[in-house]
Amino acid sequence: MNLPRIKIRDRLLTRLLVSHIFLVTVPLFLTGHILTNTAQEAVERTVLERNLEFARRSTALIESSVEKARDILRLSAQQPVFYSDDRIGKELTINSMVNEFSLFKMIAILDTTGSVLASTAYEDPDRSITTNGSMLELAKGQKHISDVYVSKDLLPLMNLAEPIRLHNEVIGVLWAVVDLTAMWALVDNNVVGEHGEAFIFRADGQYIAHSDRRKVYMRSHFEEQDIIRAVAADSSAHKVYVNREGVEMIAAYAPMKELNWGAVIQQPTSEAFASARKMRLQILILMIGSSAVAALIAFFYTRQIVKPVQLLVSGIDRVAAGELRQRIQILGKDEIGQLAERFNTMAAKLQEIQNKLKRTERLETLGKLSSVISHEIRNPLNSMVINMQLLRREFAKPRRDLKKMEHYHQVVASEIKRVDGLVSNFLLIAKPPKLEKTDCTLTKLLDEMITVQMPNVLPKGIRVERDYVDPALTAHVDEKKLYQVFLNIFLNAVEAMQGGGRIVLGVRRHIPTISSEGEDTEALMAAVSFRDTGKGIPAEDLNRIFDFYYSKKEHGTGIGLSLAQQIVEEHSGFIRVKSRLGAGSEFTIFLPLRKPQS
Amino acid sequence: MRLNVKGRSRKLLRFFERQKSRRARIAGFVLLGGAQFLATCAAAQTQRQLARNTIIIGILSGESDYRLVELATPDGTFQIAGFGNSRPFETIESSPSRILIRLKTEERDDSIYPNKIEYRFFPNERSLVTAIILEEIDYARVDGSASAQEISRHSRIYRVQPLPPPRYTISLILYNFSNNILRSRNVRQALAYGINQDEIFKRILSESGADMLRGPFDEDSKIYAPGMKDYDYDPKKAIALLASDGWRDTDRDNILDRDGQPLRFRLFFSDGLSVEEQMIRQIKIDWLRLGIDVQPMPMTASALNDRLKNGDFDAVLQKHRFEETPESLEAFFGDGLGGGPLKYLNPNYNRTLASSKRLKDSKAQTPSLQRLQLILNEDQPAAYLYSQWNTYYIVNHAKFDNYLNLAARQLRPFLEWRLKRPGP
Repeated sequence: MNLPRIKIRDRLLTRLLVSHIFLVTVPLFLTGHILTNTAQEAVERTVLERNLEFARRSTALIESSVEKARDILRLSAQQPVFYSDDRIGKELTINSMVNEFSLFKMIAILDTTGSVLASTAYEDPDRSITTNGSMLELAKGQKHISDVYVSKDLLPLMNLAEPIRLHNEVIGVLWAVVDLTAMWALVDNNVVGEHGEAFIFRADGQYIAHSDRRKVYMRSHFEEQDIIRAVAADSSAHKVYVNREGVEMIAAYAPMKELNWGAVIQQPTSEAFASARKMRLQILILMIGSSAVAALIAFFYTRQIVKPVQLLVSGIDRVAAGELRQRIQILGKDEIGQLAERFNTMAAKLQEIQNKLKRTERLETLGKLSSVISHEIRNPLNSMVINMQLLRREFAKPRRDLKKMEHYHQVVASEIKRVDGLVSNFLLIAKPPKLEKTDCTLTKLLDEMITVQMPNVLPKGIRVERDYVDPALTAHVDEKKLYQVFLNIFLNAVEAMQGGGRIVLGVRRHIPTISSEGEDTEALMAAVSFRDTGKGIPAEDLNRIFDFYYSKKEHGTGIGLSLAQQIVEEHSGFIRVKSRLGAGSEFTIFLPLRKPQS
Repeated sequence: MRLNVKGRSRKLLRFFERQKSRRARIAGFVLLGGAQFLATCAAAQTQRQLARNTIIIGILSGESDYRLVELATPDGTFQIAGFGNSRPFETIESSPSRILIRLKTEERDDSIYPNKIEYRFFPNERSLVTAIILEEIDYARVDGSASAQEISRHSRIYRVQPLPPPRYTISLILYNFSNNILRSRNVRQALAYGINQDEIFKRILSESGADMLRGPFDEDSKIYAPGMKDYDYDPKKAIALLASDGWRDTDRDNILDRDGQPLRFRLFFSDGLSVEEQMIRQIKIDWLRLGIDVQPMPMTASALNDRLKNGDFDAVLQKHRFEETPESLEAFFGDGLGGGPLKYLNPNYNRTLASSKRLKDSKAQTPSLQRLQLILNEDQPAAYLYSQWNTYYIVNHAKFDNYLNLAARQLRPFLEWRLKRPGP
């Protein structure tokens, strides 16, 4: 029985597989998504806080070093040597300060008008100091801190000044040029990552220290106005922006309030968050890998469930096709196993019923046969009686006509022969001889038959063709009886093509329509087909062609096909017929193949 | 649209601006802009091409007198400044800030070897380092390890190679014997005892690859004279020596004086060398503490050479390399007749020098050279500070190869340097 092929999406295997995968992967991906997001946020926060901390620490260090310079200057300004006229003492003090504290590039002592009294500068001291009107403030006793400026030789410098007081009266100024190149080393040491940058910029954005020193030398400006404004507003935070080169940067910034500068530590986001992204990728790969493994496990597990069902379906199919000896292998003790067990029980009962039916059918047939035979025998017997009487009468005549006697005798002999034939056929049907099975190559048997029959077939304009898909197919059969089957069907085909035609003999392995996974090698069959281009069989006769003594042919006995079916069934096989009126018929003999030896 | 054009291009621009048709104006602007762009590219290309075949050398003007810079060639060593047809190169431009020469050697392949050398003079080490970091020059030499580290950190095209200088160089303060104060041996010895060399080495020279000196030759020299005095920092001894010479602070201004003359002199030194500036400051402090009013005066190497040549100096901080020959010593410490700038007068020294010069064999000269060292150590015509055995060579590794002879631990002559990317 051929059921329509099930679509992949409707198959039990597909449904179970999809539900398994869905049940496993959806929670997995949801968990993974939450996990990666949380982890990425944590890593990003750590990176940002670290950079921000660096920026804050840098500003604190720079501010403290400037503060230190101011403290030194303030304390030094209180030394008595600055009140005296001791020029050498003053020079010694300021030179010692410069010598001891590398922060000071130059220190000078000015009078209240701004004239240089002593200086550590080697060149003309007046040239090295530009008070720019700050003397007025200093004369009033106020401190002075200049903006950072870049010297001729591109050093970042700033001026600090402390008033020198005597009895609360400002008598001079201690003027220092502070060398801020120390902060260059600081920014160099604060570079984060391979492509990170650290820098300090003035209120106008000009770099005064940068890990890429060229930007300082070229007097370049930081262009991210939002950060410059935020620093001016004394805010420290971090910001993601795209720089001139189109690189997305994450910048942590902190202000130096007193100095009006900003410190920035920045890194390309691709580098800063590389570890987070790597982790995300790893989790993603892990999730995909887990899902794949889960899918694989689900596939095998589902297959374990579906396989017995497929076997069951296959078995049902075969039973439905009439193979009542078919049994399903019991694969488990679950519900499907129980179902298979019940099915086997049912198949056994069906077979028992079929056997009973067959016996009944055979008895019925024998009854029918007996009546047919009694009818068939009565006719020749009548003929024989008449001819025997005629023979006796002729014999009793004085002038015997020998020709007549010969004719009567021949009629009697012929009728006896006919009766003998009837009885022989009856015996074949009623008590079939035991099969003598051997391994037989089916094509060889067919070829043998064709060779014998060719002289009879060719004059009738019939062409015989071979379509051997599996030419070496061997079955365990009674060779002589199977030859008889082939011959009967072949002759039937020949008789159906009185005006000539074509008969195609085919041999192939029969592949069951049910999934091969559930297939048993014992169920494999050989299919030997006889396809003719004869007149065909009417649909209403198709069910009766295998009945005994059913024949629509003029001289047909109605035994050939019945006998063929009987022999095939004795081989546990069956015959299928397809026919189209006017187009031809196809008889296919299915024979079980011998189980291959492992 | 605004184009920065001059001369004929400006006339063309005005011509296009006058056009009535908008399309004609636009076409004109596009043409002019394109032409200007192409011209700029061509100029830049020419500039690059010029720089590509040129070795650009950075030199500190405080360290080298631009007039005395030499170039070693297979035909001999020549001064690059000035003019002369016999030299294997021609000087295209010569000024205190830049000298450009073109090599004449015909056998040189311009596509492999540079054909020009440009010498750029920088006023101080900072500006030189800046130029290096801005990748404006191909070769320079810096003494400080901090500068070397800064360069290697901020530019990737340079190879920073620590090597001994071509010749061991010593640093010393030369005294002019024409100066009344410095003519006294007691004063010179007091000045030697007054320099805190330990402090200089600890604070300034600790990372510079330098050794302390006692005489004109360092301890690695074959002719080094054992037994020379150390002149360790001893202010008391220095004051005693000065006092024995009559120097006292009679007017209580913290400066020693004698016969109303303060103990004051000028100390000239090369400008722009941070090590020397720091050292001068330390020496000034040390001498001020003794009551010596020294007045440091920085200047370029050429100005310094002029002063030495003219004898117009009191004391000079100078870098020099003495050959192990009596003539080399004579060039500095010879009397006025020998051409020595110090006008050093010591009959004993002169006799020993003369006897040494008479000996032709260098081995035979060694004892006399050692005696000369002992005299120079005792007499202190110069305060010997340190000898430098390490320096950092900075070479544009992206542009040149075959510049280093590692086996000999020195750079090859510039004429042997090869371009890394040969031109057409």
